Amino acid sequence: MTRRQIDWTIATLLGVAIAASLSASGVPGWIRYLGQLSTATALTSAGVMILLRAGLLSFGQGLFYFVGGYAVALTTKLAAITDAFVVLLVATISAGLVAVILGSFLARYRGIFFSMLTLAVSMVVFGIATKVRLFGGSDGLNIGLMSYAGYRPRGADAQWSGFVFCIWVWAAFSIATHILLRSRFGWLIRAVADNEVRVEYLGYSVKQIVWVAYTLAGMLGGAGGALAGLSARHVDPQFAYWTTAGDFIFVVLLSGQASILSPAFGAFLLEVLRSYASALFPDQWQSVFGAMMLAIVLFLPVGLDRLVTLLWSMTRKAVSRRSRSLAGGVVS
Amino acid sequence: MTDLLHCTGIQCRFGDFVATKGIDPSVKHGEIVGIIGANGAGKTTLLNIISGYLKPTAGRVMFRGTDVTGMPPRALARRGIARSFQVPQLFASGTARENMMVALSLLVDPRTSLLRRFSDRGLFDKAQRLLEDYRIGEHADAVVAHIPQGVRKLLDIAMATCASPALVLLDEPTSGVSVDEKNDLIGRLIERFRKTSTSVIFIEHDMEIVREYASRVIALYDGRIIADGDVAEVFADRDVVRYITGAGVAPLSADGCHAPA
Repeated sequence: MTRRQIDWTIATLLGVAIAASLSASGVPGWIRYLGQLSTATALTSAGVMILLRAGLLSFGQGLFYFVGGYAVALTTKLAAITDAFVVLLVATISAGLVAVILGSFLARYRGIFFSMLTLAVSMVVFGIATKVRLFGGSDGLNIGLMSYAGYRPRGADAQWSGFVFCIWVWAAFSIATHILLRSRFGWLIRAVADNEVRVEYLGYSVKQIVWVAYTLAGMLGGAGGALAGLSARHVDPQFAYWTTAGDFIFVVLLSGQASILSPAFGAFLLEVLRSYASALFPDQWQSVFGAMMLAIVLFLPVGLDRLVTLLWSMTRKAVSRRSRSLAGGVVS
Repeated sequence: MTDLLHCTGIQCRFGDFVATKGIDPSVKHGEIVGIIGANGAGKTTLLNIISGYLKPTAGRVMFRGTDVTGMPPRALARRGIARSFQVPQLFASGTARENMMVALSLLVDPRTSLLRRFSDRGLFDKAQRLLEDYRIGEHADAVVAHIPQGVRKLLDIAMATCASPALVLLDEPTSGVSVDEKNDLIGRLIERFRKTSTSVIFIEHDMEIVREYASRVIALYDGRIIADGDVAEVFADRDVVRYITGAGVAPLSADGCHAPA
């Protein structure tokens, strides 16, 4: 088999990114803004998904969201760097470094201990951030307008280019993550959740695999936080608060973990839900979330993406049956 | 020639309980060693120590002339000690072929290949061939959680030994396998390992199987070796008869045939 098969996930990611970029100036601003926020949530949730595949529920991904967001705010404020690519890189690397350090001891824990420790660390950072003047205390920090490799858009152009930037960063990070998840290492992450003993007897350290997965999830969280900061042009300690991390978990529970597309879909759904629910039921929008969660857990515990994968495999079967019967027709 | 595996004074203590009490088993190249003993005699503990799962409280394990005492299983797996389990240790959410593919890509291929695509044609075919070799190819697409115990057992062994190890440790390879399949299964395994002159240590409760396939037998009782030698010798040992085989297994007569019961 030398024919290279099309990777439909990558094709979809590129398709969505191109469609979004082309329609960016046409669609109403609020939809664009929802899409932009979704990219930030999607990347961070993808990190949650990676850890969930390893059997680990992180309640602390808000920490990396925080690190990414504040890395952007502080680099623009202190170093006067406004290039979006540079600050994104700084954010991703900073979050990665924090994850490497934390992962060195968190990788030993499983189950509820892992969840509680990730939550604890992120809450400690939240507590500190609200007190530190450099971080703007509980008010947070504002982020100025960005430039993109020398291009300095202003006014409506700035909003448009911010959106396109976020979309392509999301697409690029998603493709990279997808390539990783479909690799042998991607299977190894799953293997850890299935049987740690066997992984060790196959010559690999479970702790190291978890550590790497945690670091990757951290970097995705950092990139997500950076996009969130750039979109809202503001960051505050709430990024590290545990309910923020809860949103990312909600996304993955809602969407499932079948593909890198799942958290993107879930994230968009979350942002749409949040804006509609808070408009329709200003005081009770969280109970809408609760009802939604309950319905998912009761009726589709693997997540909404199961519906998509079922449809997909059905169409593929139908297509291959048709092409086979066509080929048969030619022969006879 | 030095022994492939040479243990000295292996002791393993769990609190007040001493599972192995200073034993010195060794294995030469190409030997097929059967370990017999009642439950709690320390058989699995011994395998756990040799494969690095447990660290002995005293004693040393020498493998190919180097001290490997206390090395983790992942290091020993790379040095050529493979181990199968009494309860198959598989990736339950994957298919049999996927399990085999993971084993091959981790044990056989270099670490740098870890970022290569998982669903790779070469890997797929290699896994399929190995499964056919073990005559479980028909289960390749079945999710491991749903395949019969005997197949899981074979899959577990196939995964552990896919990198042609120097020493194979089999923990009750025939437990959970139906009586009529037992002989066939172990026969094929041993033949495989003989061909590659791989050394094998296997724990077995079926004395007929031990008699048939082992080139040497180690009898454990209460954490000690009570007999170690060729098959006829060990089965004739008075302690072995009293503590392990009982009167049910007839001693071999001089010409190697079973004495009339």
